[in-house]
Amino acid sequence: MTKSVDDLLWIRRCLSGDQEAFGTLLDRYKNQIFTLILRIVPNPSDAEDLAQDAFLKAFRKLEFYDPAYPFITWLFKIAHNTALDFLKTRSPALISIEDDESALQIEGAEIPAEEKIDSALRAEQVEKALASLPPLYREILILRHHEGLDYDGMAQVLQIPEGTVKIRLFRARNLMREKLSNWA
Amino acid sequence: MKCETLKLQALADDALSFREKEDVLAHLKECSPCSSRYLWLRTLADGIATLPYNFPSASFNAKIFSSLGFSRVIERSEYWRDRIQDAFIAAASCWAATALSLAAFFLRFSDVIGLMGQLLHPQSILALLEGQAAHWSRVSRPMIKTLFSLGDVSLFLIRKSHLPLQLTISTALACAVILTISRDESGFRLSPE
Repeated sequence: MTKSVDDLLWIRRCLSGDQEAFGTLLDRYKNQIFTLILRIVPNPSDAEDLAQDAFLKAFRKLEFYDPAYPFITWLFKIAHNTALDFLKTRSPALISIEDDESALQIEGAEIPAEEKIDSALRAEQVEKALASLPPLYREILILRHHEGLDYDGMAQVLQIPEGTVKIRLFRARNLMREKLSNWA
Repeated sequence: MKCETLKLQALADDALSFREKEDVLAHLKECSPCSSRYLWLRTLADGIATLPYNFPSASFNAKIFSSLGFSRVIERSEYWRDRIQDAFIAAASCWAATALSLAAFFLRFSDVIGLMGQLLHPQSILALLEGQAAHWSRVSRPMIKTLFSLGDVSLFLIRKSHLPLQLTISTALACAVILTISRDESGFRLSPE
């Protein structure tokens, strides 16, 4: 049985009043949701509160879940909105990034002929570089590479067009390259 | 190659059509900067993919269940899950120890090889079971009496103990039964007579 079909069975049981079914879904996805929120809001205590808040919202809105999309994508979307609402009240400057395409050609025009490449990045290097990025860039890199979402999945979670997803991802990667090459 | 920057990214994200992929890969063979950039994108992807997950605190679920007002149900289910887990661990350990003892006591290396060979064929398994059933039917009367006495003692212990211990005793009793009825003058036989 695939995970998505299995999820649907648990969701149906949950909607029919089986409280333990929600516990199963919670155990299955809490680490992924907590990890994503922790990338957006780096304080573990806040991140845990927000992850709990996200699951509570998910439980209360479970009847509105559209089975056409994977359950985890729907959970990521709730987690993203919850974390962003939190950041908007605490530090709105952190979530203002530019997703316009105008500067993209200029950035992309210069690809250095010799770029310093490590065959493998150390985990602490990646952690440090990620931590120095704006939250929304950290988030998109995690969604793409850690969670393996495609452009459509990321567009669903972030509620932005696919074109904007590509641009944000492009900028996030460029920033990572800058940070990592500066420290090399 | 500025027009291909997003295509390089799409290639790294496996989001190109077959035709586009072929074109970009052909370009990579000729263009060193693009090739370097593509390699870097792959390295970054691998670097992030291998980051570990973070785990929330142990009370994470309990707070949510409490907010939803169904903490009692979950607490009870967790209690039984723990008890059953304990029982399975106890029973599995006991069975594993018995299996190893049986193997060490009754079987020679060549027997083990023979048993493995027989287990590969379902008909051999049936024949083996049939042979063992006939073998068990010849259990002597004193042995049965011993087993009944052992059973009485075990039933008393079972009634006075908790679930994990009950299962352990039951399993130990089952092991004793197997050990007793599997033994006769010629020892444990792998094939029917």
